[in-house]
Amino acid sequence: MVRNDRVQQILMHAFMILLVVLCVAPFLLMVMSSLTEEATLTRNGYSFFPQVFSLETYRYIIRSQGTILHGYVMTIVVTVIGTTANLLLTILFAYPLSRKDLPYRGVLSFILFFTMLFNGGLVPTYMMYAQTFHIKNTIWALIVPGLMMNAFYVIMMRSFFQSSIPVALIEAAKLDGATEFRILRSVIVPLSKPMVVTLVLMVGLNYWNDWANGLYYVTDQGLFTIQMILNNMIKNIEFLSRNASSLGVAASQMRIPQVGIRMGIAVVAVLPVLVIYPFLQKYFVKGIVIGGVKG
Amino acid sequence: MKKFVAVLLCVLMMLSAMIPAAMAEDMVTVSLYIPTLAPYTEEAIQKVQAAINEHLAENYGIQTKLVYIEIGNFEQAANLAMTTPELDITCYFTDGGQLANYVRNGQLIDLTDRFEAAPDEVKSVFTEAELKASSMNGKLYGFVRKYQYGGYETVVMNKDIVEEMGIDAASIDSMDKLGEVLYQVHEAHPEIYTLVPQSSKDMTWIRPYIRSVGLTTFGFLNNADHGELTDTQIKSMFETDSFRDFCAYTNKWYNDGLIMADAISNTREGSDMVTAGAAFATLHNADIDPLEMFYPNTVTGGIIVDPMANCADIGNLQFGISSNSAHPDEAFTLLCALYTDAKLHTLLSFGIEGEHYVLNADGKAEYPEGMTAENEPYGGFTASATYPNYLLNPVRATATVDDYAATVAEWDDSVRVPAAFGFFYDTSDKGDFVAAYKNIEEKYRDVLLTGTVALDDVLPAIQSELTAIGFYDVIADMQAQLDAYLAEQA
Amino acid sequence: MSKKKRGGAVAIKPEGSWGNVWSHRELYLMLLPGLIYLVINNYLPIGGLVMAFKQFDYSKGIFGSPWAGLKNFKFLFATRDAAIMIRNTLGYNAVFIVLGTVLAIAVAVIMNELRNKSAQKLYQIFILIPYLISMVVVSYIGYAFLSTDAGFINKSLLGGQRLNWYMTPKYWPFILTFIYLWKTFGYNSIIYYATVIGIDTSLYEAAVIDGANRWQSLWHVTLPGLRPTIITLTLLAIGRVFYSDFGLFYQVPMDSGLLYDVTTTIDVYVYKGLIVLNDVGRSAAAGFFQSICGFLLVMAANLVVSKLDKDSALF
Repeated sequence: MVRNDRVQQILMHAFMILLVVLCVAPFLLMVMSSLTEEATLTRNGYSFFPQVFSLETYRYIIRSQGTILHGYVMTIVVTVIGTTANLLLTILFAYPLSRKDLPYRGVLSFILFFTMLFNGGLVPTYMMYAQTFHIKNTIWALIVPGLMMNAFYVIMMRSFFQSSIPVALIEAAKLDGATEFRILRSVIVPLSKPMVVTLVLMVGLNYWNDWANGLYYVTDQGLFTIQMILNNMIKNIEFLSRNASSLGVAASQMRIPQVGIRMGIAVVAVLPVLVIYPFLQKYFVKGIVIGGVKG
Repeated sequence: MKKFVAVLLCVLMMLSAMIPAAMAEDMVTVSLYIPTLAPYTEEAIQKVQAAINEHLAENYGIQTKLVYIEIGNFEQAANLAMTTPELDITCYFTDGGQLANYVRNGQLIDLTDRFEAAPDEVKSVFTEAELKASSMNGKLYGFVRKYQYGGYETVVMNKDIVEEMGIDAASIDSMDKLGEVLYQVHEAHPEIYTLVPQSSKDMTWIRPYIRSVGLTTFGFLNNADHGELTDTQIKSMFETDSFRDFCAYTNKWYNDGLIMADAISNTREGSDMVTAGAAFATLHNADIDPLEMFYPNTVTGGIIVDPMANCADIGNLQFGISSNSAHPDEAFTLLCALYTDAKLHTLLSFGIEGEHYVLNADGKAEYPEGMTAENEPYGGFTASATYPNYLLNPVRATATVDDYAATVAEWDDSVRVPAAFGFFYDTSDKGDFVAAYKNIEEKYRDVLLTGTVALDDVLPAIQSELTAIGFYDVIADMQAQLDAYLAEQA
Repeated sequence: MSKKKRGGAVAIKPEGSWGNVWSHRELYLMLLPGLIYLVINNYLPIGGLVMAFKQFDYSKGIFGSPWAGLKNFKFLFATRDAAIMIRNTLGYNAVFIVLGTVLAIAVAVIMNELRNKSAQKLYQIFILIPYLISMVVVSYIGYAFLSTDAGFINKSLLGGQRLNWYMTPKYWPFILTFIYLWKTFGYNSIIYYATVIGIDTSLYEAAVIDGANRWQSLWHVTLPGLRPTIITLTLLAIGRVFYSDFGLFYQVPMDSGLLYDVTTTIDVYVYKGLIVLNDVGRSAAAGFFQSICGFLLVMAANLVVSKLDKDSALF
């Protein structure tokens, strides 16, 4: 029995290690490409073990895009504010919906769900935000449109409340005279730590990875985030390979960034997430209290 | 409850932040949207804008707001901005037949009457060909960028190999001659690519031998490599003799291992690979400036296809006024000034003298001491190709000629135009067809031009797909209109 | 819905009665900020859906533009590719939903079973990496592996064979599925993992007391605990089966014409057709078509679910 268990553990580790290798190898290739001398990359192609190392890519990124550091700051500010706002809206919306005794719960759920499938499209959304709310070239343009609440996460949160928090616990708190806000704050949220942390991660990633809002609403370089800088580069490449002829030979002065640089910026955009994630992980712990109440 | 209050506060804060700062100015401000690919800083733009506004206030009584957008995002961002009054004057690309879209969508103001009433100084800027290129159904919708247009086709080769093998670059003036050289090089250097696409999977920008007509993306005429362009029979791209000839060469070269095997999944620039010695040659278009100037360690061959241009080449970049502009009159004033006022235009495109560019002893422009394309903060000097009137700027120190305007005029005269030049075919009610055609063209064009697939193997399939979307009916209609147009001209 | 004042029929409060609503006022107050956001962000612009039926004219605005009937929808079905792109969109999504769910659950359960917690945390970080890499960069990495001359697979794994991956359609259903799973499984498994660790521990204790072994408690406790999440996620995925990840189908195959039969999805077709047209009405029509089809499917699926398991239904 014990032996059997150890074999199982080993097999499971082996499976996970295989997955990890599959995930890390391409990433490593990306990092290595960004560290390979460009001429070598052009001549010999991609390799895990480049013949000629070079930090030129990163020197280029720091030098010519003086905005990179600034982009980091913007990304972090936007991610922190946006994630906080989103989590507040999500939890406040998900909890009432999880309560089976809430009148018109079905209608409210439908109103929420409907937004997942139908939207007015880019043009009306843009016209509203740009003309009614004058959001262009403000930091709110990177926070509010589309990202501040997502039906998907609300539904996830609601399911979690429903399946993981015993109704008896809420009833008990009510009998003690707690208000709904108090129940939410001192009973529900602490018991939902795993899901809250998961959503912090996911919403945070959405803000971290977003470039679309920037593309639509921001032209002021002072508001550029890292992902916008990366996306601008990629969009420029796509444009040049499609329409270079429309600029004539003058386009020759506007060169497509070389492969190493494209990879380098991608690395720069990913690294901080890998650094921050371990700090979030400690909150991924089992809620222990749940069992206690019933027993 | 506290949390709830916090949320409410948060929402209120946001709403208050959205209320626009009141703009108190007597003069009308006209916004100007320009695409760029150079690094720029917001401070530099503000500085240049202030200088321009000083000049505008003195001479025209208006103000401007410069909005720079990365070139890859430009079309989408400008189209969005055109739904609201925030955009007045914008640059737009018309290489893919977009002028018809802008007109159909009602995005641009009809400038015909304003241009009629404009002073001669403005009218004399444009040639008849340039006005035709920015007109549709006889109405003028914008001004084309003043620049040399069209180009000839040549080949860019790695200098080391050219010298090592003693290749006479200038003698390569046809695909046959190019083929001979490529085979020799392939024999001597089988370890590198002999021929690579010019950019990504695009075998060559200028699409030698084929030219679309009527400002459409789907009707084509045969083009001669050298000599007059007399064909008037509209065909599909895939059925023109010149396309067939070109693909026959590339297909043979591809099968013999001369063209990179990954031509249709390539993401690099051909010139980069040639410069780095990873490839021997790439086809390239060229006009006035020699290509060696842009690509170190390369040699340019002879003229494979003589200089030519069609309407889309002349007007591939234009400037017009949005139909949602709140100040069309002031916008037109600025638009005209951009084509006639050298001081204004130089400020806009090169920035402030002494700060973003300097004039050397010969009166030619160059980067200030210690600055390069990578760190000059305004970026206009690097990306000057996207401004309205290139000819108003001081000549660059790198230019090979002294009088740019005269050279360009001479060049433009020497460029061949097809017999159907000036003919326009209205596609505004053929959107479904244009979209369907685009999907078919994209499926086959690059695989054929790169030689990856032989034309004869797929032509029946292409023709049956074209028939299915009604291609030949559209072409017949277009042909009838072209014939009528030609008869009228004659 | 009768508006009974408090103290009317206190004993039986019908679900929608005013009294019942009033007694839940605190809960409604909580919903308010989110509702305001939904109204602004989602419902105010939704009038834009009419653009699908309009010939959009910038100078006339959304409501002033002339009606176009169903004309905007025609271009979706203008070529014989219509059947191919719908088949591809639905086919890939079906495979992605099934395989994606199985893999994500397997990984979540295995992580929960691992006793070495530091190894487990390490795995969690690494399997998230693919999700962080943008699709364009994935396409470059894909090229590094699949390139004919210099690709890692041809050169190192197949010993110098020259397989032309980008010219051979038959490989791509597998390649695309692999890349999709590779990119998303880490992220999805985190959702399931959070649910797994949220399962009431007393249920496991009870199972152990009843003499269940690990596999039995997996089968009788973990999977039933995950069921609501699986159903919810699947229902949501069904709502989006007419959509596809544009980057995966357009950028990763490098837009190779020879692969169109297996890579053209609705989004890719619409992108290519509309980039030359810049037509707001047609793109609205395409989006409307995708939404309405997904909506009908998900309503049907939700009906079935609510018959079988009322609590797991979406509404």
